Amino acid sequence: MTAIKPGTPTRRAAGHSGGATLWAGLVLIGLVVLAAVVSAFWTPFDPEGVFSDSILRPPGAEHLLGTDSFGRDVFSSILRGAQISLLVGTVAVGIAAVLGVPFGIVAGMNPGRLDQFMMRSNDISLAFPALLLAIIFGAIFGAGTVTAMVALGIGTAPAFALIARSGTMQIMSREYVQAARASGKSGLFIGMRHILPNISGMLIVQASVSFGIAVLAEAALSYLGLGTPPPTPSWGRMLQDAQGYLFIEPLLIVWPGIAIAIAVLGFNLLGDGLRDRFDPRMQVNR
Amino acid sequence: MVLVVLRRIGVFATTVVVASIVTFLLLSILPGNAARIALGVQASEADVAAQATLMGLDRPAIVRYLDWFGHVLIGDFGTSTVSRQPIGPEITDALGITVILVLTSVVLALLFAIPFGILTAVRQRKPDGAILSGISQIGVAVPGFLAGMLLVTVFAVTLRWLPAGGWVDPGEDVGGFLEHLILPAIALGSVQGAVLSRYVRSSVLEVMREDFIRTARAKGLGAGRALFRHGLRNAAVPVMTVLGLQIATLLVGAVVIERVFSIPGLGSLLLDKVALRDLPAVQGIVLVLVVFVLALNFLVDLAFTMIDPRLRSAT
Repeated sequence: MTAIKPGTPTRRAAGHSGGATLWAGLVLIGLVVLAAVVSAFWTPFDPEGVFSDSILRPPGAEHLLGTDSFGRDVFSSILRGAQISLLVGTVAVGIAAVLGVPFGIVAGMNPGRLDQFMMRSNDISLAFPALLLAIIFGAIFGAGTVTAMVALGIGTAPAFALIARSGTMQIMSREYVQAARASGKSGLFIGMRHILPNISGMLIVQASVSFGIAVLAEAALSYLGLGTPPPTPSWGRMLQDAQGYLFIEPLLIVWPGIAIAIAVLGFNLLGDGLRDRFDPRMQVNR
Repeated sequence: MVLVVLRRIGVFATTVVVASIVTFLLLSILPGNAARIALGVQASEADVAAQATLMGLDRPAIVRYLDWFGHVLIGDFGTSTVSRQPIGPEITDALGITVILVLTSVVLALLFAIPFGILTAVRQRKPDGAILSGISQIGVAVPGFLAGMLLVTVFAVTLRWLPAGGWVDPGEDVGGFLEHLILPAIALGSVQGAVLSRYVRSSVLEVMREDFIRTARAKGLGAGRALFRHGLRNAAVPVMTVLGLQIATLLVGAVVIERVFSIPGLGSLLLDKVALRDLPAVQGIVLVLVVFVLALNFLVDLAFTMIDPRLRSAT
């Protein structure tokens, strides 16, 4: 966020701004991770039962954020819901990276026909957005956590392919790569030894941004009833449940909403902060 | 110029055909026996075989694809396996509603993002610029369907100014149509607007450091005039690219928003058919959604060529 006038040394000022963004992101992600870990061992109340004697209580001393239409403690559900968001995000981003990165590196290392063909197919996969793919997979295989993770992973892969390809094309023109090719090193060796380590920075940025998008997509899927089935708490389904009680207890949509926003904002800020670190040219912009 | 446009049309048509093949593979081949899915697990082998013949599943996949896509080209999307009704009319009705919703929200997003993005760029060094930039950062992190629910809570539940959901055809009642359109369009547009405003901001910042702006300033133009005369046209190109890339996101966003506001658009239709596991209908709807994304991308691409003469000679 810090401004830099042309001519002033950029490194210190921008490093400072990147640092603040980076730390803000890490703190927010830390909160989500903490909620997921703590709720694995302890929550104030059982987030998966039905308690007919404590339905729709307002926030108070006993139930910090109140209770929902099943009498479940909202705070406990929020804590436990962090688990499914992090799980879906991690697996989806992992699948996307494993599929997309080798694809992008191969395309970037083979300019010409092969690259053009691969990028055209990548363009077509981009027309099937991750969330749409997840809905289609839900129709074919039945909705659930695994379906959602796999579909979001496949749907996010083209973004990784694009980033990996453009990074690879930059590295390919470097002298050390040309030296390696001249000395007869195989494509696999160059890809693993020279290209992957040098584009890892931009891939980590992409992973962070994609993680945020995956958390949003998981929430949307659960809201639509195509994500994790009940009784496992998820923030998206909490919103779906709460929508039926908008006229009675509108606060019920606020808590899961804040939880989603914290997680997504955390990964977006982390992505921005890392981008400032890795890409000196972008430092001035963001 | 004409040649470039013709070439783009050719690429677009090819992409549509390939996308239709992918859709067919996903929804006709991947799920396995469609006759079994239509009849359920309890059906006997003989019934399934009879149903398969009825549905034409005994023909080779390539023939089935050509049959399906050929009919789609003349507007025939086949018959639903659940309702036994033709799918085409349902899709056409729903598509009209979704197009109105998406286009309105794009306009709202641009109306918000362009001034807001320029403002945050120009005020970058001031505290208010940093605060505005922070607001847009939070806007990006709020899902559209949550924004929709919050708008319903404020304007429908608390203030009772606008309806909480539903749809009115503009042919019947224009006032009612606008009342039902405004909240979902804002919900869908607000998140896109936040995303776009960040790109407008970085694009304007980038352009402000260009030599031609410095030249314009040196000629004696004020900072504002230099930006408006020379900067914005150049800043528009990357923003248009992002807008093109965001269209797919916007469309799936519309799927969810339609659910929030019970709007009978393509998204609601898709989700209804998914719940019924009506795969022929899902296949038709998915194709329409994907072609919609491709078509809008194609139009953005063409618009580019108009804005930036440098791209006219490029492939």
